[in-house]
Order: sequence, then structure tokens, then C-alpha cells
Amino acid sequence: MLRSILLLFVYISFLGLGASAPFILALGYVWVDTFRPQEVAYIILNQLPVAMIMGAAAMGAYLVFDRKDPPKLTLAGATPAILAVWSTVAMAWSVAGDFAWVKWDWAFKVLMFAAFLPYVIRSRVQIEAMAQVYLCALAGNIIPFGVKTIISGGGYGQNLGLGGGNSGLGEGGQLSTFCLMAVPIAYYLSRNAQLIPRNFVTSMAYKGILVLSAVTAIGTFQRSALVGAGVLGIYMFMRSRQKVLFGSILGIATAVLLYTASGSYMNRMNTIGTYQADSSAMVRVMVWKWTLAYVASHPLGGGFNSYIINVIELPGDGENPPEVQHGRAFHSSYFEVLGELGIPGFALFIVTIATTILSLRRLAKRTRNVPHLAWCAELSDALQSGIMVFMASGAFVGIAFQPILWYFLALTVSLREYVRRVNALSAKTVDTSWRGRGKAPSPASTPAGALPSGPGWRQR
Amino acid sequence: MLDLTGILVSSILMLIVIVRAAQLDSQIPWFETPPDTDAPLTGLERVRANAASRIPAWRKRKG
Repeated sequence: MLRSILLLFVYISFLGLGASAPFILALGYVWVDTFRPQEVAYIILNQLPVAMIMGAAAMGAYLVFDRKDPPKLTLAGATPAILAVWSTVAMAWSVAGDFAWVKWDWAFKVLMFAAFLPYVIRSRVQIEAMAQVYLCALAGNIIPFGVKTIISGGGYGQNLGLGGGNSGLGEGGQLSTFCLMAVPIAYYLSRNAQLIPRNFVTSMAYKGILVLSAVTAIGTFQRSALVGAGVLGIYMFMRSRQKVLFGSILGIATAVLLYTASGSYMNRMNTIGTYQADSSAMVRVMVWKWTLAYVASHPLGGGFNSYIINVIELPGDGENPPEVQHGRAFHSSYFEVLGELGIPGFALFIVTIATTILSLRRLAKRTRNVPHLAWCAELSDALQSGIMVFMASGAFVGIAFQPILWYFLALTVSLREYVRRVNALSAKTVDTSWRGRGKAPSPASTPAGALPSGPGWRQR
Repeated sequence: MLDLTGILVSSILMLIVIVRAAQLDSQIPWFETPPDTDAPLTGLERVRANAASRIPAWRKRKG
């Protein structure tokens, strides 16, 4: 009961504050989409279309009050909308009937909202607020799950978080991937947050969430989490400027994990190398083979949830006879997109991720040595690390249309547009006289002294 | 109990964030209208901003 009242208060706070600052409504939608209060509350919120109300309010407030300085139209910014349109077109030859429309209903909204977010998230305050809201939305699950894992040791299929069932954050594969994607964001916020006063307590709070995120991911006993954690560690190490310190922390964390991990955890992880003997892993391989064969004969895919028509013949061994299984899920984001949206959708998906990574790398390179934009370099490193986790873990979990990846892509567009706007303003400031026309230096390479000193005017 | 603690901590943190974000955002609204005291304005923009600030309040209301 208490949790329902608390969540209702938070929901109303988003709506109330949204009246004075429309972008808060978009953040409210991010919270609803990530935390899913309607699945956690026992009264009122569980009976309302909370996402629809917040989403409609966010878009309406933008259209009425907030249409300012839209982002430049680029491939990375437009692809979510293009993919949404293509997924709708693909419904024309969908093989899953009404079941396909169930997924289209939420996936279409996710993609369109991701395309919409850069229009409302423009300034540093707004970009940081979005990162904070995403982290806090996850923290609601991470804190209980992480603490329970520390106490009990966790376990495969054990739902220690808030969500019930085997979907959303209640599903181990999704939860572990989202938690690992949150780790670099928590690290970034522990160093650069401005909305919450930076002191020992808040710094420890962020680091606590960071540790609990990692513990939660490991506590799900998901093999994809181990792969994702490995990629995250390597990528963050590569992007780190204090490699000795970071390498030492990474080594200690690995040693602690190996020392404290239970026998059941080690046994489960060992099945990564012996996937032929593991039926769960074997089903995945068979489904992927089926998907490749299906797309070879249906290059445009089979629409959402097309896996429902697959028939998998598991080979038998000495103990088990051969078995036929029907409608097994893709268990991979890449095969999910390929099987559902065909080769055009898959190409679009890969191009979106690739251009986002390239864009973030360019952004980090351009802003790292510019003092007033150094936070952009750190955030782009964090977003890169998060997307790398998705690319690694997502290869074994079907989460291509879950909001998290698309929020990361939207934040990338917002960040890139922020740098473009600041650069445009700085270029005017550096030299606007007739002598300087046509030879204004590139703002990102402008020495710090040429710009207003002290905290930036947008950062106060 | 742990579930409630998780919701409570994350909700309080998030409420602080959105209240502070709304405050800051209203102080420095948009890119197009930065405060002339702090923002890197061009010479022409600065002249216009200074001229606008010298208009008496009663005249602004009237017209």
C-alpha cells in the first residue's frame, strides 16, 4: 500500500512539474517505460494507462509550449522513426496475426518516442536529468535485487527484484543487460552530476548503485551477463585515462567474484564452453539456424513475433530422445530483428548502432580537450560502453525493441546536438568582427581561454 | 522491506533530480534566449538586449 502511494506521488510529481518545464513529462515517460510503476503498484496506477497519459502529455506539451531549436536531421536521428515505419509496413505480411500486433503496439511507441526525445532533451540540464532518471528508475529494482543477491547469493531464474513474472525487468537476461548498461552511466554521474550536490554521500550513493548494478547482473546467473561484463570491463579499460588504477579495480573485482561465486554459478558459466550439452543453449543455436533459413526464403522477414511459427528439432543423445519444439523465441536481438523485419530492417538496425558508435567516438575526440565540453567526452564514453554491452549481451537476449537501447541512441543525438549548438554560439563569440569573418576557428578546437571562463553559462 | 527501501531511495533521488532540473531549466530556459549577463552574445545581440532592458516596465506592459 505504502509503495503504491509513493509511486502515485512520484507520478503526479512528474505531471505537476511538467506544467512548468515540459521536458519533465518526457522524463516521466522514460521513468514509466523503464520502471513500469503500473506493474509494481497495487492501487490506482495499476488501473490507469499511465504510459499513454504521460506520453500524450509529453508530446502535447512539446507541441504547444516547447517547439524550439529542433535537432538537425541526420541518419542516426531519423532511423528509429524509419524503423518504426518499416515495422508497420512489415505487418502487411506478418505471420503471427494478432500476436504480432501485441508487440507492434509497444515497439512502435518505443521507436517513435526515441525519435522524439532529442526534440525535448537539448541542454546539459536536460541531458543529465534524463541519465539520472534512467538510473533512478533502474535503481528501484537494482537496490533490492543487489542486496538480496549479496545476502542469498542469487540464482538462475530467481526473481529477487520488484517485477513479477518472466518479462520486463523480471526476466534475468533483460535485467542483467540493463544493469550492466547502467554501470558506465552511474560512473559518469558520480564524476559529473550537477543536479545533485556533489559530496561524499552522493558520490558513495552513485558508486553504491554502480556496485549493486554489477552484483545484480551477476546474481541473475545469466551467461549473457558474464559476456557483457567482460566486454564492459575491456571497453571501459580501453577508454579509461587511469589505466593502472582502473585495471587494479577490475582485477580486484574479478578476484572477489571468483572467490565468492558459488559452485552453482561456476557450473552454469562453464556451460558456455559446452553449449552442445546444454539444451537451453542448443535451442538458441537451432532457432538461429531456423531464422537464417527463414530469411533466405523470406528476405522481408515475417513481422513481429514471427518466431511463433518455428519448429525446432533437437537432436537426441544417449540419455534423451530427439525432441520437437514449437515457437521458441529468438534469444538474440540480432536474429530477432532479422527474423521480424527481414534484411532491410536488420541493415537499418546495424547502421543505426554503427553510426551511433562512430558519432560518439568522434564526439569524444572533439570534446575531450575542451574544458567546458569535457563532460560530453565522458558521457559519450559512458554511452559507448553501454551500447557495447548491449551489442555483446544482446546477442543472446531478444531485447532489440526494449526502450533502453533506443534511449541511449536518443541521448547520443541530444548530446551531439548540444555540442553543435554550443559550438555555433562559441563560433559567434570568438570572432564576429568583419576581419574575422570566414576564418572563425572550429569551436571544438578553440582554446578554453577564448570562451567565457569559470562554469559555463549553461552549466550553472 | 528491501523492496520498499529500493523504491523509496530511488524515488527520493529522482524527485530531487527532477525538481532541481525544473528549477535550473526555468532559470536558463532555452538556447535561443540565454541570459545576457552570462551568455556568449554577439555584439549586435548585446546591444539589442541592453536596449530592451532599458525600456520601462509600464511601456513593456502597454505595448
